[in-house]
Amino acid sequence: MIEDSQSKMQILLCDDDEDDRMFFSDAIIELKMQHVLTVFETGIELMNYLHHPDTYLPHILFLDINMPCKSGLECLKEIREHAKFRDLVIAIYSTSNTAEDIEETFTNGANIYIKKPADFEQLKKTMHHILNMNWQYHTAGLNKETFFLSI
Amino acid sequence: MKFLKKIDHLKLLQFALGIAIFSIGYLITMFYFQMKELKDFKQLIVQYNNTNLNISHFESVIERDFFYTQNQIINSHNVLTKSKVDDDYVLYFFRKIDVINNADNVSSFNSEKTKSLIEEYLLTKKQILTNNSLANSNKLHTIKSDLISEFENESIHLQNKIEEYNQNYDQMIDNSKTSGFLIALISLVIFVLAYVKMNEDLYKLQKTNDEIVFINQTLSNAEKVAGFGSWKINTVEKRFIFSDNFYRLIGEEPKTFEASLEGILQYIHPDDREMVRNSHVESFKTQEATNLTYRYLLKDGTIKHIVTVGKFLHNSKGELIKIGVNQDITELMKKSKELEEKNAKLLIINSELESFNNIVGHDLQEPLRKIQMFISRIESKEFLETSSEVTVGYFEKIKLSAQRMQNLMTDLVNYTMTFKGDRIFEQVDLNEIFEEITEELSLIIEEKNAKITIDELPTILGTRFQIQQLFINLISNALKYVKNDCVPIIDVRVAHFDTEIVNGKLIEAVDFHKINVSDNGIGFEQAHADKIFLLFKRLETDNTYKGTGLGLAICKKIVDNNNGLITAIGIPGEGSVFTVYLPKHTNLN
Repeated sequence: MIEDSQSKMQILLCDDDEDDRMFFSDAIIELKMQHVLTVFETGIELMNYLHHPDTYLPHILFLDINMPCKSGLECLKEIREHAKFRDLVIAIYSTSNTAEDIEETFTNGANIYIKKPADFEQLKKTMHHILNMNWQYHTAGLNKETFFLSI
Repeated sequence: MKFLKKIDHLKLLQFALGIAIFSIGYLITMFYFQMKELKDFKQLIVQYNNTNLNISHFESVIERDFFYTQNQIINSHNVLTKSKVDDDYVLYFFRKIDVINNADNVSSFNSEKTKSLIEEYLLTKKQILTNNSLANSNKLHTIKSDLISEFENESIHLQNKIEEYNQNYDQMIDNSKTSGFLIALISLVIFVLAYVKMNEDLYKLQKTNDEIVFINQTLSNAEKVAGFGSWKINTVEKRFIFSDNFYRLIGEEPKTFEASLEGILQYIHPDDREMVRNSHVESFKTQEATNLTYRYLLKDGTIKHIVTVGKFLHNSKGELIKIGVNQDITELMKKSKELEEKNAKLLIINSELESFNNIVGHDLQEPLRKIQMFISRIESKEFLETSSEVTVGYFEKIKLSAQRMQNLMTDLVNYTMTFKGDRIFEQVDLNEIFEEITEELSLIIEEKNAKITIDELPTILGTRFQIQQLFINLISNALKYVKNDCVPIIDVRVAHFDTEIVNGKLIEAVDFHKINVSDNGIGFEQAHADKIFLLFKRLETDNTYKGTGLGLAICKKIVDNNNGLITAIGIPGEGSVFTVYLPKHTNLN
């Protein structure tokens, strides 16, 4: 497990939709990358995991917005409150592409915004792009235009 | 009169009147002094005449006395006849002469000489009578002659004087006549001027009066039409005045009762009565304007809503007056209530529409996205290779339908977005817009190998995201409706014009930019040019062109929202030109 966490990419996904979780893991598997994917069905589960003392800081978190009980936006705000998660890359992964959602997640410190694609090949392409991104470079030049991912 | 009117003739009139009054004052004073002088002159003439008479009289007395004296001498009568000429008479005479001497310093009448002559005469006469000496008779005669000649001289002198004074008197009478005439003339002028001015003032007064009557009548009519009533309270005389329509507002004929506070209070709704009374009483203490809304309860039971506005003024006597206007706002309140209700209903409908939008935009798209996702999963899992041709055919249909449904929903959301009220107009640089558009459509442009030429474009005034949507739709259309295996050539050009009539509206180059988007696509029948902008109106029935019938309706809606215009020209099989007019500045409509 320790070996895994050091050599493989640690990916978290928080999405209440079962199908979307399946598409997501299938896409990553098909990309044939060395990775560890941890999946959460609710925001509460996600936050519990992150706050657990044994948890290693993951590389990237894919966060859905519209979730019951605790929304993605609430999770985002809570995570950004803690200094230890400062370097955690947060990718918003949502069906919505309304201006309000994009604006709010941007101002609350998300790194990129992905609209869930309607095509599996497109999803794979997106995942490939995201997982191979130079985040330092991306975050340095982040603005509202580059925030919303369009491939 | 015309000349007078030219230079403020009222002032001129007043000036003339002033001059006339001044001159008449001057003339009357002059006339008074002339008259006084005339009177003095006349007295002088009378005195001269009297003196002359006295001298003549004295002369005759002396003559007679001399005659008597001679007679006595001749007749040698020693009896002394009482002579008229004695000391008393002489004194009397000289007193009379002195008056003249006092009045006329230049008199040549030497009374001293006369006096001594008389004395000598009297002495000589006495000697003659006592001594009866004839020798003295000659001497008396000489003295008498001297005296007489002295008198004659004086008489001539006086005659001359009288003559002279008489002439002066005539002269003065003439002067007085002139003065009198002038006074009469100027009086006449004053009278005429006063009459003219009075007439003018009277005319003005009448005109003002007419106007006031007219205004009053108009006001009365206006009150009737507008449902107003006015009132006035004189706080000193404790007098109320209500206008005719004030009575009509409370459902009574004008002047049915004496205007008073108690009289009107009984028409005010019992629930509001106390409030109205208190507000008015309070206002009299503070003298601040009042603005009240209350109800009338008329005798027939109808309730009227009234707004009353009152304020304090002082009249010309300095008395405190409160004037005010009452307005019947029953209809207004009814209407605003109706409007409020309608508004509330509209708000509900709007929010329902909004949630419908959300359903279309999000909730409906979710399952559709899943369907499309699963379709792509099936495609990628080599399912198609193992299936029959019919199944693959059906599968393709499913895929196309899902795609079409997605397009439709995207367009519907875009269309409803154009209805949102919170639009901000800003300067939009169309060059930036087209940069973004070509970026966004880069995939399809590359795929179709399209050639797009874009002019240097102007900056227009509009809502940014809508303008972007407009040109995305136009360019997408040009890319979508291409002839089979033809490279799409799209031109975006700024067209120059002076004035044009577009859809019955005069368009001027100072107000609008004209931009043409032309393509070499399938075009359309010009007869259908107006229909293509209608909602869900599709001209193309060929299924290879996957339109939703919303794209151009969105364009039309956006152009309307941005105070612009859009027209289309099409030639079937040749291409089409879409012309957009967008405003340069705000002051349109």
